[in-house]
Amino acid sequence: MDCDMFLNMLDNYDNLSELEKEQLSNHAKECESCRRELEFLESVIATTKTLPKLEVGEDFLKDLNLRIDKEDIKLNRHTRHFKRNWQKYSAVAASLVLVAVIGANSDMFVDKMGNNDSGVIDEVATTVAPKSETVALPATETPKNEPSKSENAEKTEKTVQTQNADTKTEAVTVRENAVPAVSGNSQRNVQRATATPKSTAAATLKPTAKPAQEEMPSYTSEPVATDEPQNDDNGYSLTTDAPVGQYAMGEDYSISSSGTMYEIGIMTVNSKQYDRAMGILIECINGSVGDCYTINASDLGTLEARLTNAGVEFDAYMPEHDGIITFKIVKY
Amino acid sequence: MNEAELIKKCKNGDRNAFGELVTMYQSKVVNMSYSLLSNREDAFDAAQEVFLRVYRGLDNFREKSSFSTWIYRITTNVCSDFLRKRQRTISTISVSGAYDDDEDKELEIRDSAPTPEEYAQANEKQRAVMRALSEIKHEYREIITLFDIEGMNYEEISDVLKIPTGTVKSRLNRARGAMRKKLSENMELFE
Repeated sequence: MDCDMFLNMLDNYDNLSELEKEQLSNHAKECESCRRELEFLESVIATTKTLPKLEVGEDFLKDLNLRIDKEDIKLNRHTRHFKRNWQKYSAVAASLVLVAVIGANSDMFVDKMGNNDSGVIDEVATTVAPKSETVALPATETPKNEPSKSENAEKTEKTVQTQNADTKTEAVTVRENAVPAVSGNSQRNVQRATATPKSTAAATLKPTAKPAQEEMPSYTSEPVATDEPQNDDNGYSLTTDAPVGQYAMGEDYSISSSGTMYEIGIMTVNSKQYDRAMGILIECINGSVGDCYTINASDLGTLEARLTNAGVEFDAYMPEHDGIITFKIVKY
Repeated sequence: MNEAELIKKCKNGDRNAFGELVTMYQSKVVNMSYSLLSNREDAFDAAQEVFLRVYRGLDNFREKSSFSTWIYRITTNVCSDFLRKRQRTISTISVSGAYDDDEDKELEIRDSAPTPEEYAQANEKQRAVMRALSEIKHEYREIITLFDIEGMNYEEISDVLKIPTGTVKSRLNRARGAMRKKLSENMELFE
């Protein structure tokens, strides 16, 4: 072995076999300069492995728990905000469901209605007041990414009522000759709906924070259900199967032309903190699609933790599945 | 109680179980952060952030990788974030132009090198290595930290950093070269 070969092997020190290390050592015994190089490298590695360590005292865990408690209180505020406004959010979500279902079945409605222009769905789609009698409260379980099937109006009505019965909500009456609200006069535009929700909600509504506790949590708090869909205080489920996609329904929602149903999350952010939130968001997302952002489900926790740590006030209503989550940001 | 049971309890919101998990990993996380950030205060801040993310993200931990791989990955990510923030702070100051004489407005940048107190606890060789570690590229410091200081093998490092094992090996070789270059002036210390 010559010195060049020795130095090349030294560059690959960690991958050398026992035999190769022995060859290195043998050459080092014969060559002073190479011996110094080998000793230098081995000494640096040995020193690096034994650098002084920091001691971690009891205060570390105490400080951590204080921070968590502080953030839990902040998150409780968000959960209470959501709970105060659940009717509004549910009303919006319900109107989306109806408009979407009718939009998906628009051809059939056009056939059935003939020239009848009266649209019950006008009432439903554009009325988002929490106490509206025509509002349907959403269904419990939502099959994900299922294409919507063509159904007749009767079936639609029955479906809505069955779902409502399951969730013990008020029944919604959907008239058989209902048509979606249209932006123009043409009945050919039946696929385009113009419902403009007054407030915002996700296609799937589920508070991401754990259930609120009214006082500082003790360290033996009750287990929190993670897999079951969460209901609000009145036992109403907060999931819908509203399809979303490309046609604009208003500034915050869209429906795909194929009627394929998928879920888009919503993150509402205090407009005064929007810039700060966006700075953090950009580091956590993995891209954008149209006016939506995409994020790995596994990174969602990190995003929310970072927003909370930065003092950003936000609410997140995200679909619950693995893989890529698509969501929008809405300022309030 | 084993780790899997602890994690299950944590997922169910058991704060005592979470406290036990923190106690199991806090030294590792703090010292890994210390090696990556070269600063004691930053190391503790970063470690707190790591456990906060663990706490918030436990529901998303699907157990495809081991828990330790997951927590070390969060640690390297948090430390990278800290370094980016540190870099942005330094860049902001360097382009701000004329300095304001008003002491109240003086910006404080945390020195990234080990403090005199930290140096005092180390011998001369250790001090030289700590200084060199703080001066090499972050990706080299990561590799040296995980391989030499934390004693991980190539596969474990590959999992944590999400890079192929071939990249781990080549990066380690280059990291050794970088350390050697930084320490060549102090070669006599290591004889």
